[in-house]
Amino acid sequence: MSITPEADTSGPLPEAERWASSALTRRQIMLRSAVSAGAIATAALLTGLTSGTMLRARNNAESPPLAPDVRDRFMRFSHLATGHTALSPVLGERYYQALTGQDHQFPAKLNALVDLAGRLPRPSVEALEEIARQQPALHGALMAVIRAWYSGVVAEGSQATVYAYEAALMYQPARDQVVIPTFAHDGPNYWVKAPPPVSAMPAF
Amino acid sequence: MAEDLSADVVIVGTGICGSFVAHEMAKAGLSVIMLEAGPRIDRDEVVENWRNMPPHNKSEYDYATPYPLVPWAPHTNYFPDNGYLHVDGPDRTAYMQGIIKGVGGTTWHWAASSWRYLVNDFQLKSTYGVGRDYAFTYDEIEPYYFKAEQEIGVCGPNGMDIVPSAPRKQPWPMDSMPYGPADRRFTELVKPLGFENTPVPQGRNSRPYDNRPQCCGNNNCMPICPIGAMYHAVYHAQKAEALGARIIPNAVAYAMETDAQNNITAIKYYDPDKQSFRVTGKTFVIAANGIETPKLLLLAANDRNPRGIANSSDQVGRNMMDHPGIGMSFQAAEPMWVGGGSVQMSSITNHRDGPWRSEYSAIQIGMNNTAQNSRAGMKALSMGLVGHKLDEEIRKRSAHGVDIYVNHETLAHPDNRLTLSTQYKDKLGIPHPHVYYDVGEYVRTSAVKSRQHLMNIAKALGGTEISMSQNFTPNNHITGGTIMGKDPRDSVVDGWCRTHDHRNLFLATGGAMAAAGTVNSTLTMAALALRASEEILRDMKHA
Repeated sequence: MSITPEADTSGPLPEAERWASSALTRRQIMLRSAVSAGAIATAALLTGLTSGTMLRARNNAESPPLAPDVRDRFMRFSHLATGHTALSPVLGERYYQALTGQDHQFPAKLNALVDLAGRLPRPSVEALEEIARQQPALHGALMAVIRAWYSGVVAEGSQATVYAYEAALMYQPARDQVVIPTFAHDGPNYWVKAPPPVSAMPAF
Repeated sequence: MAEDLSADVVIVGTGICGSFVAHEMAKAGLSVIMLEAGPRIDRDEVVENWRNMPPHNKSEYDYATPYPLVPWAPHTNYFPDNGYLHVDGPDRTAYMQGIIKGVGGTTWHWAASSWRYLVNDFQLKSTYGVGRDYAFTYDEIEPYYFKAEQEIGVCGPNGMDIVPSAPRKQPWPMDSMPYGPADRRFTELVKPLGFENTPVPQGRNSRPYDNRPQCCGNNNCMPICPIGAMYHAVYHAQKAEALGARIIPNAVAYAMETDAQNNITAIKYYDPDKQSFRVTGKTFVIAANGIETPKLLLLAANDRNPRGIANSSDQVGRNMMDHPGIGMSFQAAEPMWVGGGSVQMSSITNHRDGPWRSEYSAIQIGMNNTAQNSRAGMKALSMGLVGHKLDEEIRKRSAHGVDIYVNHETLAHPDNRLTLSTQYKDKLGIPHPHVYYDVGEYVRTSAVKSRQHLMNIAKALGGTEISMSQNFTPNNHITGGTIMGKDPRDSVVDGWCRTHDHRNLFLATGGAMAAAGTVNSTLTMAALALRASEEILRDMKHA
């Protein structure tokens, strides 16, 4: 994940530079995301290379790194909020910073949500969401965390900074059949075979 | 910079028409200069820009944002509307066209549907008493259609008997790609309604072709094929360059000089800093498609041609056409799994022609095969679901979501007119285009039936959450603005795309098309460009 805008390149980066410019190593990507091998080959590109004019224009100023305990706490909470554990801590750090940038009360709300979740007899996002409805500010923060991990953005609309595309969770539930557009799903004519049942949710 | 900018053939525009002409000229050993208002476009960067585009834009089919937008050559972007193209009239929404300025032009983000028009499309007036006739018949353009199909690399339904369809002397260069699950099932479900859903001829490789790979179903044809299995005009721009043609990007044509015989002697262009350059040549070709071509001709008005270049008929900018569309989305009762293959695999074509065309539009109906996952995700998130229910909703909507559409032919009408904006100018001081647009009763009458067709299809698929566009939507099949005809008093170019007013000026553009038909206009434009090229070469031999 490149945080600093790079110099303007007139053409595509050589492959080596692409990897170098990504703070996520290939190995880390493989460890952290349960995605197909085909997608891994290009995963470095989507986790935040900034040679694209648009992203470069929208890159936020660099934020100081999060304290490890803050990051870990946010990641643990994100596992609960999304129901998924294969989440990138690098992305988590960026979401945390973006959510805090959008709402300076976010760290306090997160703490309150963690406390709330801790008091549940059997912690689950469903139970947490239900109980958080009584406190709209906390409910909003919970939904903002879920939206970030699922959609890859924190802001709404057409000017939002994009933190993840292929790693956004919303592309995972149908990814056994539906291509994540621009990425290779499989070889030519993969679409000829019969689709899987809708009930067969892939693991991710 | 005292550089001699002169060539046998000077072409404005590097899209499919300009690049085809340049390639033909360069093959014949002529010198060529191509002026492109926009920059060079890098595929990798556009792919990356698309990936880095917010999911809102992805789910709303934003095809413009990934492309570089430069202040000296603005093009349209509706996320949000950047105000480049001003449209008014009763159907303003139906002319909010998507165009790209840059080397390769708008085929960067076309869907590559490469149809031939039908025999009757070329003789609408003679056959049905409405609209206009082309200045030639189908038989006269047939060889150029085939050549265009070879140059592009079109795969089509060889061996299938589709009615109506354009008669062919040779098979398509490639066989069709096989359908994915949605197209297979859609075909079965609409058949009882009398709809024949047939393979679309696509400018897309169903096998490796012309040093480009076979389609792998990345399903992002619009706005960018990441692997080059889909044809883009940039390939012919590059082929022309390899043969010695010179492309000058970021060169915005704005004026033309004429001599006593009203031949064009030079084109002038601005660079991004508004420095002016003059290019002389023997033959000039404007290939800036249906909006920028009439805009340039009007802008280039001079003392001898006060209404604009090539405009003694007053038809430049008039007769603006497209295929006004109606869209519908719904959730099908059974999983369809839209998104296998390219974004446009099939289409219902048995309403493309019939006796009703004397009264109302012929139509093309189709299912959009763009993967539903972006929309499914955004919709499910907006419902406030969490956990397993959220995942299940996304999967269900990715599997069940369907978009269908009807596109209507429009008739040439002089009131549907492009003019130079009196209010808005770009960074170089060049007026923006302004379009007045009214689809007319011919379309409106047809649209009543079209909406019923869409409802019937939704019913056949057990559709729920049905939503249909209230206004007509644009399809970027921009035709008519420099219309073709035999009579110089009511048309701009002849059947070879030569302007009636200037012997050495050709307009290789969809603007020359005299009737819109029901299908995508690109293949016909490309065939016109090849036909014009032949005439230019004849001129050069006899010069």
